[in-house]
Amino acid sequence: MNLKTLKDLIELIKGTDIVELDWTPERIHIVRGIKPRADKTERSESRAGAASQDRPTVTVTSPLVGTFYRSASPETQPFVQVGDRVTKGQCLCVIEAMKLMNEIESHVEGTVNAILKQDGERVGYGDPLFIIEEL
Amino acid sequence: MQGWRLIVDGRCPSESNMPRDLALFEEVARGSLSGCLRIYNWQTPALTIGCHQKGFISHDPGLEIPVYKRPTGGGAVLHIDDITYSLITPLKGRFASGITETYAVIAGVFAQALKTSGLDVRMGLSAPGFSEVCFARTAPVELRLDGVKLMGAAQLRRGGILLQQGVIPRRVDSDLLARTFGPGVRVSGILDILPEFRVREFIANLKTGFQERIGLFFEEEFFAPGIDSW
Repeated sequence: MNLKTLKDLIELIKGTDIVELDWTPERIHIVRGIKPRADKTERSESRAGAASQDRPTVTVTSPLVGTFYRSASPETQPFVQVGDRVTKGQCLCVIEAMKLMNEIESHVEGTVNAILKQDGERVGYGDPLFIIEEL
Repeated sequence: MQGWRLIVDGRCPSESNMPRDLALFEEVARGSLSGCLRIYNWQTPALTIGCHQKGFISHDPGLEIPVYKRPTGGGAVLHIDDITYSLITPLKGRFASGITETYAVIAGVFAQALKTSGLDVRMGLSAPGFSEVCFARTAPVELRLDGVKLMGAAQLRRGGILLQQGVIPRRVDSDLLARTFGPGVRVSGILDILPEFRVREFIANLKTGFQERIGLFFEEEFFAPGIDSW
């Protein structure tokens, strides 16, 4: 696909309800509206199609380099799921670095719109972790 | 200067140590305590593993040893006869800094106390490689004696409160160590190097170190009986 074709494609889907587009020369896969439930190959979870376009969103980023964990321990449930309402100060995840378990808190009240990292994934300073739609 | 609580608990039932550390963490988080240093040992051998370790399988599958999860990170630690500590503080003052800096601040206090007690420890450089075993790897600012890691430490930060859990082996059971971690993990015990080392004297040196290096003093002190016969 050349650059002009790519630009044309982007223009084509702007303003539509297409939330995901996967193109190869053999096929094109489009997801419209609310994304189907993520399978193992998905890199992130989101409810992008259901997000209100009017409410602001906040991206929670990693304050350090480390390993991202969604729960307090492997045996416990994740701190949050997509769609959960969170309060300011509520723990969203843990990042382990240099044997430090660092609990990352939400600095806004809102709804978890997207979880952008997988459990056990290495993250860098400033990497986006969550998108929260503010109340 | 702020006043902390010093708790010297002595040899405690192994299953009680992590819950006790967490209870003190909650007290500091609630504001009931301005900070706390707890020093303790283990009545029976036990393993503690880091918060996100998914269990631990001993090198000798026939070895039966209880495993407890720490609230802090890091790798597996075999506790036989240790000076184990938990330091709990709001993240402010000398503790309001990055990860390496806070490890260095605390390591500096322990290094001074150990040196005054007769052990020529040095701050270690990071050793390459990863291991599930705490004493098989050295992170920056960890203390070494004659090239061998002497003190391990790990942290939890939650809601503006820091918990650092650390351990300095007093005696090493080489057979149990090998059965747990396999050959090749070198651990030094203080009493194997300096038989005249005394915990009470070391704690006095720690208090001096906290005061001189951080400006911290202990308002309250609780000593469990039997510290001199650890």
